Order: sequence, then C-alpha cells, then structure tokens
Amino acid sequence: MAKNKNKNNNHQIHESAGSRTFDVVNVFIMLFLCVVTLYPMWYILCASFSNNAYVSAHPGTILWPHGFTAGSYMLAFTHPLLISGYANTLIVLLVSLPINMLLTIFAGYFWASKNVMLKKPFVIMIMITMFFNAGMIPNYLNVRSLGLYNSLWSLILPGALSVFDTIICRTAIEGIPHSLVESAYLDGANDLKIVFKIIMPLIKPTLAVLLLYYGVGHWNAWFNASIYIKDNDRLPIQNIMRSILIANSNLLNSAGADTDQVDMFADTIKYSTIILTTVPVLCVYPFLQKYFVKGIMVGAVKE
Amino acid sequence: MKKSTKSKAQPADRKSLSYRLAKDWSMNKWKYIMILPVVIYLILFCYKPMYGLVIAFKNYKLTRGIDGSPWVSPWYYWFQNFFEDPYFWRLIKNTFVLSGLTILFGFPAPIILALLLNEIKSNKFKRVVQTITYMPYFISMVVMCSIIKIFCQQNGLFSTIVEAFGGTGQNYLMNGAYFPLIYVLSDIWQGIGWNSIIYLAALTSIDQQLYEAAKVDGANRWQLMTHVTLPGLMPTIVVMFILRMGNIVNIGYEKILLLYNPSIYNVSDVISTYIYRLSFPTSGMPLYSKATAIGLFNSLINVVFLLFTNWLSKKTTESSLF
Amino acid sequence: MQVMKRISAIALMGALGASALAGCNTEKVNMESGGSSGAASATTTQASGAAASSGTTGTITYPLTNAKKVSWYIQDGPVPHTSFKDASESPFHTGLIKQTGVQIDWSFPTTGADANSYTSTILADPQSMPNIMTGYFMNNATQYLDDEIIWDLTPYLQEYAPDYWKWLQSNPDYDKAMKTDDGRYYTFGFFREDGGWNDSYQGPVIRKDWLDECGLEMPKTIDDVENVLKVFKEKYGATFDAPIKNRWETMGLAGAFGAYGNDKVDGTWGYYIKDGKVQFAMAQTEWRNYLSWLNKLWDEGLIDQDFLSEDDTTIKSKVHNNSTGLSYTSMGQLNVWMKEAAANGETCEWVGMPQVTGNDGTLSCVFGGPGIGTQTTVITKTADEETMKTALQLLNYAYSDEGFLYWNYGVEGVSWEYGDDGKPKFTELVTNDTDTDPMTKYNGATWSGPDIQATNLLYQKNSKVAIEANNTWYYVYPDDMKKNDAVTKEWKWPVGITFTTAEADELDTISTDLPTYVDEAYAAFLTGAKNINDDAQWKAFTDGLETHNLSRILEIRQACYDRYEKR
Repeated sequence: MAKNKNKNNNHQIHESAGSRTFDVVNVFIMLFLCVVTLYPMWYILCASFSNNAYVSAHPGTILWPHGFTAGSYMLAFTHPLLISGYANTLIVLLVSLPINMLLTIFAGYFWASKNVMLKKPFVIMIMITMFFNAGMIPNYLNVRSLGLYNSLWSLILPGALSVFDTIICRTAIEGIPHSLVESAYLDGANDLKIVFKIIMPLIKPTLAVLLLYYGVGHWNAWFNASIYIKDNDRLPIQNIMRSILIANSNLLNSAGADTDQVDMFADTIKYSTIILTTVPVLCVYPFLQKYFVKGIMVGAVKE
Repeated sequence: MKKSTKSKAQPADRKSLSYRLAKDWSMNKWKYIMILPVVIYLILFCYKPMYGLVIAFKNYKLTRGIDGSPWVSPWYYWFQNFFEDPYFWRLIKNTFVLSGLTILFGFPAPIILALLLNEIKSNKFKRVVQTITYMPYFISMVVMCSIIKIFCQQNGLFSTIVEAFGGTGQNYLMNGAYFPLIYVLSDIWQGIGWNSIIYLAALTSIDQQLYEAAKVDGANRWQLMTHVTLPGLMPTIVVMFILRMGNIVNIGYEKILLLYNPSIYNVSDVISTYIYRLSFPTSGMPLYSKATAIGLFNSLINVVFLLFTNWLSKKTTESSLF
Repeated sequence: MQVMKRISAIALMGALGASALAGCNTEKVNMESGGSSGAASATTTQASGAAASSGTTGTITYPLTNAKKVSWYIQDGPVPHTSFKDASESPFHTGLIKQTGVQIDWSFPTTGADANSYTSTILADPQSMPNIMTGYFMNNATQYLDDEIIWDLTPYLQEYAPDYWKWLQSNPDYDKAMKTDDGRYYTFGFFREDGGWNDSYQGPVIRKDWLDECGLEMPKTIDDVENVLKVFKEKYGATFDAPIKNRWETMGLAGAFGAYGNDKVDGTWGYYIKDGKVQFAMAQTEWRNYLSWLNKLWDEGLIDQDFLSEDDTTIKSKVHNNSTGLSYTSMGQLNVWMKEAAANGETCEWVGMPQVTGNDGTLSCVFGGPGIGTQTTVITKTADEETMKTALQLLNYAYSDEGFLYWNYGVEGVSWEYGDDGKPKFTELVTNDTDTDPMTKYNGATWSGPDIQATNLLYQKNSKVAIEANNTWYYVYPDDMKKNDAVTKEWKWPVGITFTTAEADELDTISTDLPTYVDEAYAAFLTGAKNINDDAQWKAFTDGLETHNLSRILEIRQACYDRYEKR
C-alpha cells in the first residue's frame, strides 16, 4: 500500500505530459464504462418501483420511478417460501463453500506439486470431467441412487469441485517461489501444514476470487435444485424467484392456451426479482473486494 | 501409466516399481491423502454417472432405462444423422464465428479493464468502478435480452442515436449483419467486470520490487505496463485463454433463443440451440440419444482445441496448462 | 355403529368386485361418510353384477370408504397456487382428498422448475413413479402400454369409472381420442364443456375508437383490412403489429386465403386434414397467395418493422403508444391491454374483430380446436390392481355431476354459490382476492387437468370485452354450427392420435429442422428477402421442404391418421 503511493508520487514528479493525458483519458474511459453499465441497472431499479402499466408503455426509457409503488416487491415478499428459500441458500453456501475450497486447494496443490509419481493419471482424471458430463438424466439417477434425492446434500455434493477453479488455484500456487516451500520442508513441516500455513496466506487474493466464483455459482444455481428436490420448502431462493417470475409473466413459458394469465405486475416483477437477488451479492462484494484491490507483498515474505 | 513410469525409470538405476512406489509414498504421503477426497468425489459424482454417455450409441427411451434401451446400428448412427443434417455446416459455421468473435474481442476486454484499473490512482474510484462494472453479471438473461430487444427496436435507443448522426434507424435484430456485433458487445458488457476480477487478483501478486527496479532503470509508465505488469499477468492470461479455447463450441443457447427471430436464423442458429431443439422439441419426445451424441462431438472438438492451444502456448510462452 | 360401517362397506364391495375385499378391512372408514354410503349401497349393488368389460355401468358414491392410498403427479394445470407452500395448504388439493375419501400423496414439478425436465426425470425412474401421472403421454401411449409402464384400463373403466365412461359414450369424438388404435383405453382427458369455444381464444383485434373516428365499418375482408390499415397509417401513423410467438404464428389471417397455417410447425400446427388426406399448410399455393399479400403490406409500410421480433411483452409499448391499430392477440392479453391503458389514462378501445375472410367470402379455417386437451392422466404400473381401482374411482369423480362442480368451482358455500340465474358464481372469497387467478386456489379446471371445464367458469374468469372478443372469434357462422365446426376444428390434426413406437422414433428423428426451415422462409418471403411471386424461388422453397423429409413425415402421419379414423 505504502509502496503503491510511493510509486504514484514518483510518477507525478518526473512523468511526462503524456502520462497525465493518459490519466485523464483513463478516468474518462472508466466514467464512460460506468455510465454505460449503470443506465440499464438504473433502469431496472426504477422500473421495479414503477407502475406496471407505465413500464409496459415506456420500455427502455425510464429515468425515475413513475407512479411509485413497491407492489412487485410486496408480491415477492409475501411469497410463503421466501424465508425458507433464503435459508436454504444460506445453508447450502455455508456447507458448500468450505468443501469447495478445501477440495479445490487440495486438488490445486497436488496439481502444482512436482516429483509426484502418480500425478499424471490423477490430473488426467480431473481434466476429463471438464469435458465429459453425464447429462441431466444420468446425473439425476445417480443422485437418487446415492440417496441424496430431496436433500440439500444434492445441491452441495454434485459439482463440489470445479476443474476451472482448480486450474486457477493451481496457477496461483505455481506462482509462489519454490524456495518458500522448500524451506518449510526443511523445517519439518508436512504438506498439510504447508498448505494451511504458507500457501493459503500467500494466495489470499486468488482464494477470494474462488470464494466469489463458488459463492456466486451456488447463489445463481436453480436447475439442479429443480430436479433433485421434491419439497418446495427445501428449494433455494433462485427457484422461488423463478416461480414468482413464471407465475406472473409468460416470458419463460412456451405453451399456448395455458399461459394467458398475466398479473398486474407482469413487467415490473422481473426487475424486482433481479434487485432482490443481486443486492445480497453486492453487499458481500466489498468484503472480498479488498483482497484484490490492495496488493499483498509477495516480495516481503520472500527469503 | 506404466509406460510413463518405465520411461522415466530408464536412466535411473533400475529399482523395482514397488520400491519406487514405496519411496514416492513416503515422500508424498500427504499429497496423496489430500487428493483422496477429490478422487472419491470424482468417482461418485462424475465417473459413476458418466456411464450414461453410452446412450449416444443407443436409442434411449426414458422409461426403458439406459440398460433397457436398444443399441443403434451402426454405432455411429446419431453422429451420422447429425452430420447429414441439412443445417450441419451452417451450425458449425455460426458456432465458430460467434465463438471466435467473442474470444477475439471478449477475451482481451477484461484484461484491458484490469490494466486500466491498475493505473487509476484513487483507490476509492477504483473500487467504485469495479463494483459498478461487476453488477451486470447478475442481471438474468431473460431481462438482459428483453432490454437488448427494446434498445434494438426500430424506434429504440440505437436507432435514435444513429438518426441523431443523420443515419436511418432500423430494427437491428432483424438484420443478420448486426447480430454478431450485438451478441459480442452485450457479452462484453455483461461480463467485463466479472471477468476482470481474476486478473485484478493476479495483479496483486506481482512483486512490487520489480516495479521499483524497473523505475530505477528509468522505465516510464508504458514500459512498466508492458515489461512488468503484463508479464506478471501472463501465466493467468495464458491459462484463461487455453481454458477459453477448450470451451470454443459451448455457446449459451439461452441468450440466442431469447434474441433470435426467423429473419436472422442463418447467422444465429448454433449447435447449442440445435441441441436445445432436440431436448425440448415442439412435438414428440426429446431425442436424448442424439443430443448426447452431439455433446460428445462437441467435447471432442473442445479437447482438440484445448490441446492445440496448450501445445502452442508451450512453444511460444513459458506457461501452459500441463 | 362399527357394525353398520362394516356392513355398508361390504355392500359397496359387492359393486366394486370381490377382489377389493382384501383391502377393505384394513382401510379406515371415513366417519362422516358412514350414513350416506349406506344409503347409496342399495343402488350400487343392483347396478352391477360386475363382469369386467361388458358389465353395466354403476355409480360410485363419494367419499369412498375403502380407498387405497394413491400418489398423483400433475405436470401442468391443477397445481397448487403459488401463494401456497405446497399442496397441504391448497384448498383444492386437500379438499379433493376430503371429497373423494382417497388419501392422495400429491407431487408436482417444484415451484419454478421447468415442468418438462421434471417430468422427464420422473419417467426415467419407472420403479418410483407415482401411481397417477398427469402429463403429455398421448403420442407415446402405445409404447408405454406395450412396455407395461401404464395400465390398460379397458377391462376396468366401465365399472370403476362409470361417469367417465358415460361421458365418453356421449360423444364419439371424445371416445375416439381417449384410446389407442387397437381400442385400448388408457387415459383420462381434459374436455371443454361446450366443445371449441375456449379453444378459439385468440384472433384479430382492432382499435374500435379509431374506426368510429374515421367513420369506417368493421373490416370483414382482406381488402377491408388493407383499406383500414392505409387509413390508420395516414391518419395516426399506425401500422399492423402483433406478437408472433404463440399468437400470430399459429394462424394469422391465413384462413382468408384458403390456407391452413401461418408459420408455426409442430406436432399439431402446420398439418391439416382435408378430405381424409393429411396435408402440409406451407406447401400449398393458398399459403403462397397469403404470403404474397403479407409481402405487399410489408412493402407498403403497413406492417411494423419490428413485427418479426415481437412478443406479448414488447407489443405492449406499441399498443400503448398508439403506433398499432390492428393486431392479433388472445383473450387474456386483451384484458391486460385494456387494464393497463385504463391505468395510464389512455383513451383507446380495443375490441375483438370478426374473422377476416377473402373478398369472395373465403374462410378455410380459424384458430381453434375440438375442445380436448393434450395433457391427459394415466395410471402407472406402480399401482397394484387394487390401487389402480381406487385411482380409477378417484379420477372418475371429476366427471360426475358432483365432481364437475367441485373441479370447476370448489366447495359450494365456500368458494361459490348459485347466482340469481341459477348458475354457479364465485363468492367474495374469490372475487376479492387480488392474487393472480385466485380461483385456481379452489378449483382444478381453470387450465387443464382430468376434468370437464365449465364454460361458465371462463365467463367468470374473463372480462366482458374478452368474452365478447372470443364470441366474435368462435361464432364465425352462428347460424350454422356445422359450418362453424368445419372452420374451427374439423380441419385440425386430431388430438389423441397415437403413433407406434417406430413411427414416433422416426418422426422425432427426421422432423427436427422443418419448423426452423419454414420459419426462416416465412420471414424471407414476408420481408421480400426472397421473392414469393417468383416461381423459381417458390419452387426452391418447396423443394427444400423435401430435403427436410416432408413426404416421409406426411406418409407417417397419413398412416397414423387412417388408423385413427378407423377406431
């Protein structure tokens, strides 16, 4: 952090006018990006609080909530499964994330390690699963045969390890100077200790990213739950949001006669469900964000 | 497996396999213990159901089960059926065009964003920009596409802008020429912030001493970026690129289904939408066998691209996936 | 009391066949049912000597007293209203258990799930399938029967589902649709009380206020339509625009040209029956003439440029911004348009428009159907024989006089009572409920299900303008119902056709691309990207249909249709 500032000060002292122009241009690019991104977000927020009839008459051009109403939110809030939905998602997150992280770090560490005789077959075994997936029906039958059907474990265990994330983890571990690990070995540490005491603190930013990847993955997931779970009160929040969306608009249905029903919140409900599912993630974000905005000094730990 | 150990064993003095295994175990015991839960997971949740892939060679009927369904003859029946489809080449072409463009423009975008963010001096501003650009990732596809549709209408936002500059507006979704552009731009828009996170994380692990040393040598900002920051990001970029190439045939069907209309089928119909039609047919039963066969075909293409990219990057850069 | 119950139960047993005896003693007898079932037993015993297939029709008294427990899965339609956690909170579902005396273990696609995928997973595990399944099984019925996945109900239907049996006998079309080619009954269907009325739930709509303002007559022919569009364009800058998906794509105004389809091709749409022959709508010159006309309108700027990407949501901005004067939509959407317009303080008046005919009065067909649903209910082999018999009686309930009322309106005195006109009316419990479609909390027939949907229910559900629109669309020839039936349903690919396993397999394999091909050609011809009036391009199109196996598809369908007709 301190060094960062130092660096910037240095620039200002002997950097050219070109550099300063770049700063200005850069800020403008960022501002442009923000505006382009924010407008649709702002539109979604405003539309979610607007009168449904107004929204359907003025698509794409709402700068301020019109006919302010929280009706579509009330519709969602009074859903009988809202609480159980959030609770289930929370449980899945709390149980899943430690499992995800442990498996990923173990697999990543194993993959990054050298001089292991059986590394190749195991790595190939992991890689294959990235390309070949059994498909919906076999996976479903598997969940049933393992006795996980209609239990939250069916949302936690399948997909507990992402190969993609494992590779990211491995790349980060490989970036750690080998001497650090060597010296730990000399001190008599075993691999388990090395992982927890040395590796993990060093790859904190990557771990934060992985946590975010897994967390958001679980947060957004709905399809598996929709076929692995039988009881509505064990469904995660995304399924509940989907049901509110489906019941109140015919966007997601394709059949003819039976989709005629449209509610007084048909247009605004899709926006409020977005707000309701995005806000919790946005609230968590700053806590993770700090890990990859500030750098940690690998160099300082070195030696 | 055996082969590789043998070839490695050649130069060393010829110790028996069991001796070497025992030695490996004593050295790497903990590593094997760590990989054990991973292996158990893979066997239970990936390899056990993977048996279901045989339906690509069967005429699978849900109620008859995987074992009860008859084999097709010849064994490549579904593959042949797909290759002989009148739309086969069109599907392949569209898939690669859309995917290629997404990689060409969509892949570098988050890297550039990460680099630019890195140059921002105010930490507060940096965090704000980051948070904002990350938000669109959470907009559901349904809403995202309905917004795109609204903007693309004849009297929509894009037409209004074009007309302000003296052009004539149109419905851009009805013109096949614009579809790839719309597809790629909206993809970038939605993913740029989210995808830059991994690079931002990688940026933090670049050794600050390298910057100091470079500055002592009189490097300017541009040189710092190209000689310190970019090389520092390189391993991550390469790995992400290889993984992306190993995903080349996988285009999400949802977005295309929500955006397309009959006048642009010729540029927007891709393999995944075709698989969707098989799995959710407008009439009759889902053709799971054919869908699985095409899935296998897809996987093979993906593997080939991944291996090729990996080989290429091994040759040209120092980093690679394996 | 205990003895009484036992006696009455045994008396009822007689009607149900001796084999049911074993299950009887162990079943709990419903307390409140004791008396009534005793009274009823007299009629039931004499009504049946119970020889399986040729036996006389009996009556069944509800609630049943000797029922087995059954499990029942429903894919679409009578599922618990979204304001309930599950079936245990739903008045309709708990009420049905009380009404029939059958303990039902309900299951549905979980809330928010994709219903098709959910049903697939259930089918993939036949050993643990629910005893009763409500879903889309007609096309593959032969396979399911031959594989012993579902019960062949023929020997039991008349005895254990007498009301349903009577219903089927009352109308040969219904009977025909509910069995296989070789006469095996396997399913309970969904029927609309007065045939096709609600199957004609969409059609053309127009701005009545503009018509009046311009002093124009309600358009009746294609020339009228073109003229109105020109006036609207000139005066209001408005065009024709309609939601393609699910609405316009099915039929459009094709009937006015003697054609039988617009651009939708699936199991039902695109194919039609004429003089016993199965034909493909898009291969006909009538369809070509129709598209030529659409293309002319497009060139004249009378059709909105966004037309091809329009759906129910996007069309609404056009409707509310006065840029559309003539459209094509459904009853439900018309309700919404008017409701929203009122909320925005707009002064528009949309009304249903009579079906447009050719200038010489040509009208080959309109959007419609026979009033039989494609979702039906079957009994699976996970039910043993006794359970299957209970299931039959349970399903029979909806077709009895008492059950008809329950399935359509719920419990009398709670969700409905008789109005002054002697017809059932929903009580304030329903009418004051602001949730979407509150009646679905108490009834099962609003959308589908194994039941007979009362037309009165639809009158109560829809607004006046929507009902009037539907009347306009359905009663094309109000004085000649025979002629009316000809345009609304007789040309249609029949509901209830069963393919053989081999046929279904082949059709699934060869017809994947045809819908895409037709869709694409439709767009090209409409916008002029391809010239519909150019014989070479038209020939290229029809040749293309052959590349997509049209002849073979028609051949299979013809064979299947012939068998259907012979039933």
